[in-house]
Amino acid sequence: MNKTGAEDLGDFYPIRPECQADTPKPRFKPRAGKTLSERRWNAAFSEDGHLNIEKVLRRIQRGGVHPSIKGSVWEFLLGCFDPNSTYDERNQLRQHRREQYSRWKAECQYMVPVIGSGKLITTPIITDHGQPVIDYSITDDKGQQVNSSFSDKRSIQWMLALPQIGLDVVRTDRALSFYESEKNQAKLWDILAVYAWVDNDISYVQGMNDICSPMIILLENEADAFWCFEHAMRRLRENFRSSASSMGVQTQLSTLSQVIKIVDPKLHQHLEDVDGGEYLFAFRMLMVLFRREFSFADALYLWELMWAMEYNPNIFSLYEKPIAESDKSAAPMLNNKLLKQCGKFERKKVKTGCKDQESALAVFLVASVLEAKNKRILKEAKGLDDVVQILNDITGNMDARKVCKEALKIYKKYLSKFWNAVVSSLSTLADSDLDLSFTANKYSVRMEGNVIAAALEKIEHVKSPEGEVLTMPFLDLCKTVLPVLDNFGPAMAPAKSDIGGNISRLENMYLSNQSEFNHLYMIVRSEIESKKAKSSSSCTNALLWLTRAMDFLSELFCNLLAHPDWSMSHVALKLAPDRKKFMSVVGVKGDDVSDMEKFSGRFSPLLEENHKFLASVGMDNLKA
Amino acid sequence: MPSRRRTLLKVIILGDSGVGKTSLMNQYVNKKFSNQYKATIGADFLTKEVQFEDRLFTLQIWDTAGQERFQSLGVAFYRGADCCVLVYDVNSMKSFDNLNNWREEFLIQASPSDPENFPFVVLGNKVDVDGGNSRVVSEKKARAWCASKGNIPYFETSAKEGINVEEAFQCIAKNALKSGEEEEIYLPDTIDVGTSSQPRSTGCEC
Ligand SMILES: Nc1nc2c(ncn2[C@@H]2O[C@H](COP(=O)(O)OP(=O)(O)OP(=O)(O)O)[C@@H](O)[C@H]2O)c(=O)[nH]1
Ligand SMILES: [Mg+2]
Repeated sequence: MNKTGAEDLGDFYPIRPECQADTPKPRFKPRAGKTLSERRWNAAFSEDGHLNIEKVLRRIQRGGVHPSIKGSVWEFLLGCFDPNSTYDERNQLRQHRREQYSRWKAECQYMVPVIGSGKLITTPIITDHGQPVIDYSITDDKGQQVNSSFSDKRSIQWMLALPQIGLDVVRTDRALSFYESEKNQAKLWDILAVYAWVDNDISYVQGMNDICSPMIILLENEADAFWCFEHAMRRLRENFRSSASSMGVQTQLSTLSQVIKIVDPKLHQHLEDVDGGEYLFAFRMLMVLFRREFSFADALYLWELMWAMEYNPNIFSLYEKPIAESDKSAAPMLNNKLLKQCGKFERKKVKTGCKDQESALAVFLVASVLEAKNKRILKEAKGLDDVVQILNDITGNMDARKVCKEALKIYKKYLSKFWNAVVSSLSTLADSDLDLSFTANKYSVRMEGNVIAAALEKIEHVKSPEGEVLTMPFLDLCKTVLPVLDNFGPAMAPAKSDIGGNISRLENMYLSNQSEFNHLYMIVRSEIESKKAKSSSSCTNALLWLTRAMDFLSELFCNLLAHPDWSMSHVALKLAPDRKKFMSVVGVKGDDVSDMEKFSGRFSPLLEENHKFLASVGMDNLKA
Repeated sequence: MPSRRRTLLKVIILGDSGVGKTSLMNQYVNKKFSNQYKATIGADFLTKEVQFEDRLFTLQIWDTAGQERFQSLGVAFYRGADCCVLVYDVNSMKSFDNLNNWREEFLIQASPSDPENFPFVVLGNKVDVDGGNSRVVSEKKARAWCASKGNIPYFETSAKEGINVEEAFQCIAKNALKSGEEEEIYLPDTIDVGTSSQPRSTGCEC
């Protein structure tokens, strides 16, 4: 260790001598007192193995993880293990997973014996129709690389993907000495092949090799590396989903566009002029999480910073639950203690357990890179090529921690500006700056049953016989209509989690003293008394913003009703080009809008009452 | 009226994953081959200055990802191309069979103003492999296909050994230049009375 407390990294990820000149030098250096060291990591476990995740996260967010322990730390960051478990429990789970991996691998091996042999293939082994391709270079038995001809679609699809995996494996991180060994290349190939078999929906897409490669270097055991990769893919897999007309990552690109539009309209306008606002120049950054813009060691540093910032203590249980159970409303609520165990980004991303992937930190990282190059882009970029060029110039020159810090700032700015835009759009919806495209097909699946009917039923119980607004019934009502926002695509995702955050803030307050806070306005009154109402983290503030968000929805319903001829309404067109689809997802059947009329007629006076009350105590004009 | 001459020529390279698009581009621009190139994600480009007669041009070469799944991204990158290079691997029949798809996909997505005469160049790469013993697409077959698509110029290359790469890109640049100049005729303010552009001949005389 030298004077600055920094160590040399060269020994951890050695570069082949002949590649030294062409490979960017890593900037990351473990720093004493900042980086999570092996000693501190070991000290963060209790005797039976419970991990103090809060302490560990604080360190990681400051200075990353020391290379000697990255593998085991990542397993927690990615949610493979619960920090709140014992050594024994984890060993059991690990054992169980290793066995599962062996079983899957055996299935693959049975079909294609090269799997697990320490070799890999780069040329087709079957035809598109499932007939084995004879390879005369193979001398044993029949020159066939597959065990028989296959007719089921899944097997064929999988075998067709294998050569692509091979082609990419031999081109993965070749500058690292680690991949000089054919055995290590074959390990990467095996893991990607087994993954493609198990996740046949996504199968294999170029770029997954870049995500997987570090796991193999960091975790010695092949099955452990597989599971680490598999957990990373849970966050990333939607990016790799493709249809005939688009790639999944384009959803994140449109969120990015929405973010830049709000935080830096001038830059957005410029980018719109040069590339039609598709933001395709950011494609690679999001797809392989900056692996190409950072050196190997710096990309790992960036990833652990990101995952620490996005960390949510419920991640393990959310992943472990069978799909059917993991209904969002059942996600465990975050109390204050759990909140402290969230990363910085996740804490902001608010406390609903809402797991929308579109507004991942990565999107804001790209935004921060763009902002850093803002002047040059505005001045020099006249076409997509110039933007690509400017962004290529950053390769190897960025500081991962700085990028993360800026990303957090942009996220904050985005949230506050977003809501100001929503509020100001209430009066002038038609010229709203928000372009909220309707994506019913994709999102409607999340909505269950008849939202409007359920809301109508709930609104009956919001008030006590004496006419007081009741806390839980009101919050319940808001929760019921909240999913309507899902229909506005990725743009609304952060807003939605923000609303969810306001709801849970109020809910927690109620739970802290149910009899005192049974009436919604009592919460505000008590905060005024204790002079806490004006703080941005107050429940008063939460109620105000929650009401404003609900105004927005209420306005939307009124609009839908006022313009049975959808094309007459500018707003409607902007929000949801297809009225019929929209109506059907909120539960309106045919032309029967009577429920919606009834609901709307009662909802907006209720919100008005909130505003009147807040105004009466001087709290109706707080800033976010 | 001052003549606004085009000095930027845009070329796009298409073909199946692994046929050697990135390697060819780097061999031409940087004069070297390396087995450290990574699979292309999305698209990227390199530029090179080329001289024709006494005029200097910047050749902007766009290298795209080969996996079929990335095809939907094409439009944005294909736009404004002056020449399209189709690459296959002479050791892979599938990559040759796919040339047709790549060509059609390009014509649909880029929708050039004169699709009949839009310049393509076909490269059969990796002729070095195994001394040519693992070759499965014959030169005759490849040339026949090129002829059937309006006499597309054809080259057999090796990005690894640097065989025929310079020649191929010379031809690519020339074709891009011709097509670029023809475009100008449609824009009234860019007509350069001095140079009358000749109709593009179909064969490659480079
Ligand atoms: N022997 C030989 N190998 C080559 C040649 N050209 C490329 N390769 C190898 O073929 C593999 C693929 O080359 P790339 O240039 O990355 O292929 P690509 O077409 O850009 O592939 P994608 O980016 O996936 O679309 C690499 O391992 C190269 O080293 C060649 O002329 N001869
Ligand atoms: Mg490539």
